[in-house]
Amino acid sequence: MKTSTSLEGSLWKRISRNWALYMLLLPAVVILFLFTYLPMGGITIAFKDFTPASGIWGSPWAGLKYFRQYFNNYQFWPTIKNTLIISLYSILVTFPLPIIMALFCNQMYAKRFKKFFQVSTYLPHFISTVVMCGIIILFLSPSRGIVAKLLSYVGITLPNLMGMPSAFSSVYVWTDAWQHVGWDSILYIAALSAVDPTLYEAATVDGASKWQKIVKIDIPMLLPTVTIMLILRSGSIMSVGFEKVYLLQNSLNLAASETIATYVYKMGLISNQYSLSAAIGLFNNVINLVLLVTVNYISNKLSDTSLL
Amino acid sequence: MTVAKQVVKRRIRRSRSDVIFDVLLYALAGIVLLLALYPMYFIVIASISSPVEVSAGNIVFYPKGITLKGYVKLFEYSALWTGYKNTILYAIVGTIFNLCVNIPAAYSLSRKDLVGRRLITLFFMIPMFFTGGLIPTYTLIKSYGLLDTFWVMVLPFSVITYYIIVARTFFSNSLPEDMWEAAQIDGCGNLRFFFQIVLPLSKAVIAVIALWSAVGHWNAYFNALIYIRSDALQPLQIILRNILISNQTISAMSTGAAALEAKQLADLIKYAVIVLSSAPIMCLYPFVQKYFNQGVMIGAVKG
Amino acid sequence: MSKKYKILAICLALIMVVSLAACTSSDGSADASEPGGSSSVDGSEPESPGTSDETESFTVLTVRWTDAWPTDFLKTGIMAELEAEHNVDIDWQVYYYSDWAEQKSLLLASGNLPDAFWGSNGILDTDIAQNSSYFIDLTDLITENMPNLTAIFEKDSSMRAMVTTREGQILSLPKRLPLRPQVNDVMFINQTWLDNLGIDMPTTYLELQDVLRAFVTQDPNGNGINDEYGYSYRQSLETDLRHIMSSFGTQVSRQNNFMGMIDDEPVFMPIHENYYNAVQWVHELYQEGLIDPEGFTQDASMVTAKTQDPEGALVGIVFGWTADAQVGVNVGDFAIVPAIAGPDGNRYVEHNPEYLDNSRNEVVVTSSCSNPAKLLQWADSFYTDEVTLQTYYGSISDGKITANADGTYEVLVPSDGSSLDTSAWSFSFRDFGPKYMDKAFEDNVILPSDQGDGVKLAQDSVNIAYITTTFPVVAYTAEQAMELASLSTTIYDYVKAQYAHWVVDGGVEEEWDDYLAQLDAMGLQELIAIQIDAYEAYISNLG
Repeated sequence: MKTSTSLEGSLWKRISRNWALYMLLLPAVVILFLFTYLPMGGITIAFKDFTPASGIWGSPWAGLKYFRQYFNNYQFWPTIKNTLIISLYSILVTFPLPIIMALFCNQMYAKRFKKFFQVSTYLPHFISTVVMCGIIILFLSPSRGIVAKLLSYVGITLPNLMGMPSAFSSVYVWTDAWQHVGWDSILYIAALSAVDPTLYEAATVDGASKWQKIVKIDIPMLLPTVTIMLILRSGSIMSVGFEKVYLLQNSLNLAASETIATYVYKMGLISNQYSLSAAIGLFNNVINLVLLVTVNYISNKLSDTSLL
Repeated sequence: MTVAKQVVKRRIRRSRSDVIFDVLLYALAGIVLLLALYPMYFIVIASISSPVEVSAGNIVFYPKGITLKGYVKLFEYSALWTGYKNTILYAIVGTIFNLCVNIPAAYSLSRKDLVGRRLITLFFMIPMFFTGGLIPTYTLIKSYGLLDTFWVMVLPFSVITYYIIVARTFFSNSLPEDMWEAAQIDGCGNLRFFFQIVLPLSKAVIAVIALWSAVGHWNAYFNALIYIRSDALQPLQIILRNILISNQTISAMSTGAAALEAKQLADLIKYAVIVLSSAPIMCLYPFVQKYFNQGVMIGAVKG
Repeated sequence: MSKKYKILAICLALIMVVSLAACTSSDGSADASEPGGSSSVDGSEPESPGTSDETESFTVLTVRWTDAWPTDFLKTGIMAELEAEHNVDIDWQVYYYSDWAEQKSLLLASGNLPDAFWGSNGILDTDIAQNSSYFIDLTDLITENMPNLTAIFEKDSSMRAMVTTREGQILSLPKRLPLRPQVNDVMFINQTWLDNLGIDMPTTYLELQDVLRAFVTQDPNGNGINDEYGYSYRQSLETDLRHIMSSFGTQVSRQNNFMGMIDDEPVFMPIHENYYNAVQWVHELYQEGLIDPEGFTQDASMVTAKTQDPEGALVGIVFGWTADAQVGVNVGDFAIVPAIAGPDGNRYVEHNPEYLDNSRNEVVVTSSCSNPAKLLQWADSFYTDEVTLQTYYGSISDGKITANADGTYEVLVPSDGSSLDTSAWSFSFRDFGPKYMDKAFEDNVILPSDQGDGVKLAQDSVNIAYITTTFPVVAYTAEQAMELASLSTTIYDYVKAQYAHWVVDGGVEEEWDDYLAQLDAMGLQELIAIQIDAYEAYISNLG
């Protein structure tokens, strides 16, 4: 019986030995090529004076004109600042919480309660953004909202949070946590399910407390997944979603709530700026990529976990 | 003190700290539970309450001005049922398709002995940052003849690098390295290994990806907005969106009695729409949850 | 290696290939057809009275606000009559506004244009400017094929000026809505509360302040709690300039460009003295608690809850065209207020016909149209009085209007209890499409007096003496439009945020100079220059 250890042999031998693996890859590669790589010529829209009438190939080149226009725009720094504040704050809060929730959920031995708990916490994820923002505005109303009523029982008057630029990112981030932490923890719960239960038994025999089990068994188990998720998350730092910010925005909190996405949208309402929005999008994606590569590099050096 | 007494003392101490842990855990869980349940509870009671009461902040724990008009109005839309049917089909077919495309790719990429592994991973990652944009993609899909077909909701965007990376991480970390070695000794080839050994052991990650994919298809509306024109193929979210957002749009765009009536309708059905659009998919999780139970891997290497 | 799995792998790959092939072959025809499946109201085969080989088919795209309103009227009533008269068959492609923005870019990019776009909410000035090769110049075609419209141009030069571009071409057809009031948004006051407290309707801005104070402190709805609001709305600079600040002379155009006319000169209102004075007063109102502290943060549903509370409105004043649009069932409690006098003793009321009643881009003809002359001949029929009436309310032959023997027309209230407004939208183009009605003809139309347009017209007499002209709808060159887009987003954001800040926190006196300097740094002078340039071009076009 021929036993071929995976890494030996000539290049051709190594490829042909694993031909089946390439077959498994084939559908994904083909589809990606056909639907995502072929249209990539559209990136040039950012470098051209694009109009639909002329099409992509017929539009004249404009070089870096739109990038320069964007950099010189009065709102360039303010919108980037607002976007980054929301994004980083969001990572700080909504990244660890699902992990913590998964760790604790895993320690629940009352099966029925655990199931009920899991299902309940992921329910808010299904509420649409539009309705969610309506609920947030209603609940936070100092005169009519439930939060104000509850706080008044302990003697605190709720200020008009929706009208305070300083509170905007907090409202955005904590309501995001409220809505999505349950759903986001599913991945980590699944990861924890791969832990061999005999490890727990052994730990109990050795006299480990629940807390020690979490720290010594669960966390190391989750670490690779957590690292990869963090790297991926850092690759979307400039991409704060448009809808929720736009719905929570008003004249009073505009200083903190005008993000790149909402600004581009408002410009587009007045006149469709294909090339300019393409340039802005490309610029953001480049920043995202640079950040991802950086975080990936650091992670590689520290823990040998890398995307590539 | 004798050894036996020391052992007993140790065991008691530890279980007390565990008890404290448990108490805190369940207390915290209770609070979190209330916070998580309240919005959905609010939406359900708001969907059967009078909109004026809801927006006045009078609805807290029980409905007021009970009216089922919102649901009645929604069910009057015959298109709603088409939407349900279509979305269920898209979700089922789309999820199966997604799994077939992404999971095998993820497994291949998890194998360290795959030549060109880095390059291929790069190939998958580049579209996460650089896309041609809506117009060229639309033109291309049109030229493939996929416009206004069932498959446009399933095929073009089925490769999701995010899923591939997550699944790949699972494969890399949960499958012991010596498993493949052991299988090869037994005369097992790559494909047989994948289908007979890897997949059954990876139920957890398949369940997660399937869940994400199903929910993704359930909530999809943008692709339908762009690529589908015929009523017969519209998914649920588009239909609900048409009902809800169109009515909100009129009231923003014009004044007068028509706008007023549209606004009232929008307010009335706003919450009912959420209930109708999420109730079915929420029932999916309990079925998937059993795959997240401990000990899926027992006996894998031993046997 | 087991054969079974080799086959399985190959099958997987084959499935991909087969599904792709299947799609391409079965829908190969989709390539040729336009995206018009869903709501395309295609009539049956062109039924023409006898001369069937001359019937021409045109595809026309129109955008509706919502799909809640049916589109059957496109093929019945007056529309059917006109099709038969001109021997044309119109294939309507209907889109909905909420999705239109994305679909428009794709449509323009794909090059599969309809023969014409119908309705000014479809193709905008900027779309035309950016894609000029798609749209044809109609100047000569109008003279040759459209006698009705040509006559209108002679009578009313503003119609012609409206559709003339800066380059001197005519790229679209105009409309003027019939039976519109002269006065637009006015103030309504809670008369029941006035009666309960025994006070008179205010006539000046200071009296208004006193009345609001009384409302908020003296419990006019008599329930023992001070739950009344003086003024509660979804506040923003655009609306407040036309509403609460109006008595200070801050009327601006509805286009939300903050341009107004003072002494016949165009001004950018947020830097004008009138605005400066008005903001101070609104801040006073805010400090006294006379306006809702959540005015800038609440959403529309929350306002509705206060104004349409079934036990009686909780607000003292509302602004709008008619009271019922704001207060719904409580309309009986509200009375219209003659415009109040401001600090200079003058009264101002909104009068914005150029934006609200007139527009261009009602019909644009694309380069795909093979017979624009015929299309325009058909379009010309819409510029008569009787047809305009029917494309505004619904067809006579559909039973929406009765034509009486004495030459009058009665618009009928719908029998199912819905409002005339909704009915008009459901059975006609209502605000969109080419229209023009002679003022003289308007006297022949009988409207229901208790709702909608009838009420608006009846209200006119109260405030008509105080109307002033406002900044018209002007046209920009392509470069100006691009510059305007980027300048205005920044500047408008800033003035709106500053306004909200000054109302809530005060400080307009100290911060005014820095504010002006900041606006200049943002390019305000360039923006104003563009507006003035466009305005002057408009005036010279009026001839």
